[in-house]
Order: sequence, then C-alpha cells, then structure tokens
Amino acid sequence: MDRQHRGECHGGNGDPVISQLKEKKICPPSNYVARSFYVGLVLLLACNIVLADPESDRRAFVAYFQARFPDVPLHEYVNGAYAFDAGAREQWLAIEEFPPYEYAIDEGKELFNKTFPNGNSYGSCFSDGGIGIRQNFPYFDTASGQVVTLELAINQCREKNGEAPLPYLKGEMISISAYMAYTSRGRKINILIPNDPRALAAYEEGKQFFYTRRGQLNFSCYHCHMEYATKQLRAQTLSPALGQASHFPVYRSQWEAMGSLHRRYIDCNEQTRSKPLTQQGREYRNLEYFHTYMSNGLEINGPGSRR
Amino acid sequence: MLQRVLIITVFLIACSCSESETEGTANRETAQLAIRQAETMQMAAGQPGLEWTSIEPLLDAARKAAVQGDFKKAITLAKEAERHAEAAVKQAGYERQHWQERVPHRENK
Repeated sequence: MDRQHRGECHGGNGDPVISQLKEKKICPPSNYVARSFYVGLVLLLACNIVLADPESDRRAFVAYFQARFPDVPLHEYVNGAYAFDAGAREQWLAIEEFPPYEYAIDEGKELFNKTFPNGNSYGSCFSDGGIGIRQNFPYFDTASGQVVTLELAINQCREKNGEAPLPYLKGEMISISAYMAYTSRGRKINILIPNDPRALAAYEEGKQFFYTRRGQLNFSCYHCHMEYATKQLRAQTLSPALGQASHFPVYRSQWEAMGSLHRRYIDCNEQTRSKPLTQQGREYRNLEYFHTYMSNGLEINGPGSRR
Repeated sequence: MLQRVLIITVFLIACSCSESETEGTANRETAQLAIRQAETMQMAAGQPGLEWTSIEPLLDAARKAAVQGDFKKAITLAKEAERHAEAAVKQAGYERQHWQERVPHRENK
C-alpha cells in the first residue's frame, strides 16, 4: 500500500498550504510541478470565495435588506426612502399627481420618433423598436468587451446614423432616456452577466467600487445606502441601494432638473469629498452594472421624482 | 537657584532660536519645495475615484500664497495638502485589502 492510501504524507514541512492539505489527508506529490498545482488549486479556491457568483451576491444583498426591514415588501424598494418615511411619501405622492418629469417624457417621445436625415430613427438601433427595453440596461456587449448603458447606446445609435453625440448629464439625452424608461414601466429589471470573464470582471469592478470607502469623509456607497439606509442625513432620508436603479432618469428638486444615474453618482462622490469620475466612463458604467444587477426582478418605475 | 534660572534662560533662548529658524526658512524656495512635495503626493493619491476633493483647493491656495510672497502660509497650506493626499493614499491601500469585508453573505442574514 502506498503512503497516500495509508493516509500519511511526507514532505512540505513548514509550508502552511502543504500542511493544510496534509490535515485534510490530501497528499501533495513531492515534485515541484505537482506541488505548484496544489498551491494554485488552493489559491483558486480562495479567489472563488472573494469572487462569489453574482446571483449569490444578489440573493445575499436582498436578504440583507429583508432581514433589516422585515415589514417592507420587496416590491416597495423601488420607491426608495418613500417606502420607509410615511410623511415624505405623502408629499411625494402629491408631487406625482403633476409629475415634474412629464415634460421630459413628452420631449423624449418627440425626439425618439424623429427620423435622422438618413431616414432611420432611434427605434432602428434597438430591439423591439426601443419600446419597453429599459429593464435590460446596462448590458455587457461581448463584441466591444464593455458595459453599455442606455445613455451610451443612445449616443452609439446617433453616431451610427451620422449624428453628433449628445451631452450625457441633462437635456435631450435625459428626455430620450426618460421616454424609454416610461415605456418600460412595470417590466422587471433583467440584467444579464454572460459567461465571459470580461463581463464578470466588469461586475467585480463595479462591486468593488460600491463597497470601497472614498473621499475625505471616508464613505462608500455601502455605508450610506446599506448600513445607514433609512437614517437621516440632515433633512434627507437615506434610500436603500436595493431598487435605486429602477427610477432613473429622475427629477430631483435639489437639481431643479432631470438627471441620469451617473449625475447622481457624481453628486454622491462630491458629497463624500471624493473627486468624481467621468460620466459614462468605465468605472461608473461598471458600477451601474453591479448596482442595477442587485435590483434584478424589481419593476422599472422611471422616470421618477425625488427631493 | 542660580542653576534653575540658568536652565530656564537656556530653554527660552532655545525656543526663540527655533522659532526664528522656522521663519527664516519660509522663503520662495522652501515654499516651492513644499508645494512640489504635496503635488507628488497628490499624484500618488490620484488613482481614479480615490482622490479627495480637498487636496486641489489647498494646493491652489498654497500656490496663490507663494505668488503673493506669503511663504509661511504657502508652506502651511502645502503641508496640509500633503497630509490630505497621504491620508488618501493610506485609505486607498487599506480599502484594497478590506472592501470585501462589507459584502453581505447569505449566512450573515
């Protein structure tokens, strides 16, 4: 009977990885290549712990909020802080009777249906003519190897049809995006992460961004919108991260205008005294990818209005 | 008694020398050196998404003070900017190692 079958191992004295394997009665072969294989295997297992699969992440993310707020139904999270603050909800519902974003939907519809000089329109660039598709954005484009947000896709469409790209923060871009969100109301967010290491890497980068403290005030997205969610920050109730991506673009009273999710990211970064990044740059697109994926299954209710 | 007076006198002289030395070193060259050191640290802290917004205004104020000939103020501001940048670098390094600790796991429920 050889050593392995007797449950004994030799060699690797002093090497913690080898010792761990020995404890589990997995005998590392004595030659260097095989030992490296075992070390690699252990490292790979360690990486898998950190790089948990997105669906497990999402379930744990949802469970975190459900454990903290067991009385709040899951579908209510798309209403942000208004699902937790009765007084603010009443005011918000009163505002929603004459929605401040209505002009943007009207303008967006007109722009969306207008044809480019070549005879095409925005609808020609999207599946289902661009109607009712907001819930699928952002997506990972395997051809370009990057995350494509709805706003980026709108500008890609314009460029494909010989038009200059629109500014991302406000104006026509936000109106078109608002109209497209409006046609998708009630559809469930369905962000896909294809079986492509680049897609998982983009998701992981967004995840790391979300949980990383930054700025002089030393806050991450997690701190305000998970740990301190529903707490007061001056006169504001901090909204939970779950469901946040459902209502964009948004009319914010603070801005007195409509704005995109990336405009909100810029605001958040500035509030923590962290230098904001470029709108529609890789970092924010990857953050949006992770952030929206966490809300998979919740309904689109954009465009929305917030304080 | 005489010994005590002597010690106190020596101490006071030493303090006044030290202060006048600080004032004496606050010139254009030392101010520019302090600004350059802060700029170097700011570059190290300049990893996208991790730079603090407090650094650039402090550096701008330091540069402005240096131009106006207020070198002591320029050095103070540059050193403050450098401290902020150093803290940003430390924060980024710490976060690279620890951000995963905040990720909820199913069993944390």
